[in-house]
Amino acid sequence: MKKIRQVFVLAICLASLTAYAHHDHDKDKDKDKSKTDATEMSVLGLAAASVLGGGTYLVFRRRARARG
Amino acid sequence: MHSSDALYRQERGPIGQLLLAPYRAFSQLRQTEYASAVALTFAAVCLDSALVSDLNTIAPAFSCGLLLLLMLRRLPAEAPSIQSTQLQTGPPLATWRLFCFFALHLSVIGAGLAMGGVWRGPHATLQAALLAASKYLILLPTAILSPGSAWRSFRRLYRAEWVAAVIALVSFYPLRIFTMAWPWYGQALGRSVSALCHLFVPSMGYVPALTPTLLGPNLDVTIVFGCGGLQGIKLFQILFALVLVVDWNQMNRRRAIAAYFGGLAAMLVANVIRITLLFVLGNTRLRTQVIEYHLTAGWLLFTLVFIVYLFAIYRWLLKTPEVTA
Repeated sequence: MKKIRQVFVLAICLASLTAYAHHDHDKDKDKDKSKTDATEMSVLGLAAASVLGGGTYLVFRRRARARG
Repeated sequence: MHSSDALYRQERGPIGQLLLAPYRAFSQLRQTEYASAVALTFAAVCLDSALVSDLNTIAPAFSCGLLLLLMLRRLPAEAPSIQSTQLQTGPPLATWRLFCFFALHLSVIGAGLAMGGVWRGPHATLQAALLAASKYLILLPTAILSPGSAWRSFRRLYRAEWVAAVIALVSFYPLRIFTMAWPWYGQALGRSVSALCHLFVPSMGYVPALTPTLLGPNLDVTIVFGCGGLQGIKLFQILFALVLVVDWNQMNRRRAIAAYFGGLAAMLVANVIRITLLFVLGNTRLRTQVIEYHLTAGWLLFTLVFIVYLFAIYRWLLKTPEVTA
């Protein structure tokens, strides 16, 4: 059960980063929207990185506590 | 017996904990006069910021939110509010104080809307500094919520939380400091990156301008203000706030301050490594990929640096458990 939860958290992190990377790729195709997208990109990137970093920390903390 | 046991297990489960958390937080908010004042301030600052976007009061809102969360995270044994005495729980906030508080915030919103143009235009250094300082005045109406003696005892009882909130207030997302420091910081960054890149791409050139440029055989990289590492700093601050809130009761608070400033420095160093990697890899066959995905790669690197930094300091950051004979 614990493993499933960890895989689930990692999957969410990876999915958010993939979505962000995909958005990054699309942005380069459409230069007209670059200014709006730059702000949006920054927010998306920050959100994805926060989820990834925060998720990893919480998993690490849980494992550290389990080990004592 | 069985039903109470099941209920207990349900409450102990992750979903039960999650559902109980807002209720516990709300009841704790109601139990202490100070938490109500901080919660009201947080809500009012968020409202001001939402209604007058030019005010851009993210740092005060972040600081208030952090103070509130850290107060709520305190261990029940540590929290003075739980042991209900007249001094600690205090009377509810007086109506006239609440009225003045909201009136002051309404006047802030009014002034912000009326002076919308003032925030946007270019300013002289002194005027810009005054305008930046005025954004902190948004916290001033909070003073009216309680008498001076109550604020003094609040500061005494929640000293560590206050220190954390003040540090967050003055250092969260330091855009203005970066803007002011850019003329020399940009040069220092450019020269550091250039020195590192020279080890891997000896034929490179360097143009020292306000936005320094690294000239490579296949790819030139211009270090603009956005490459200054501010995003990495912001990410670190958000993630470190999460660590603070989650581990507040187990944390050595003096070490937490050192770890915070050490982490900020680590992010600046990571940014130097990031630009170096971009330039070095951009001058290989990976040029197209570097151009296309450099923003994503930057976020990944900053996240990775945070994780490595936290793994390195985590045990040191926590309190040493007391040994009882």
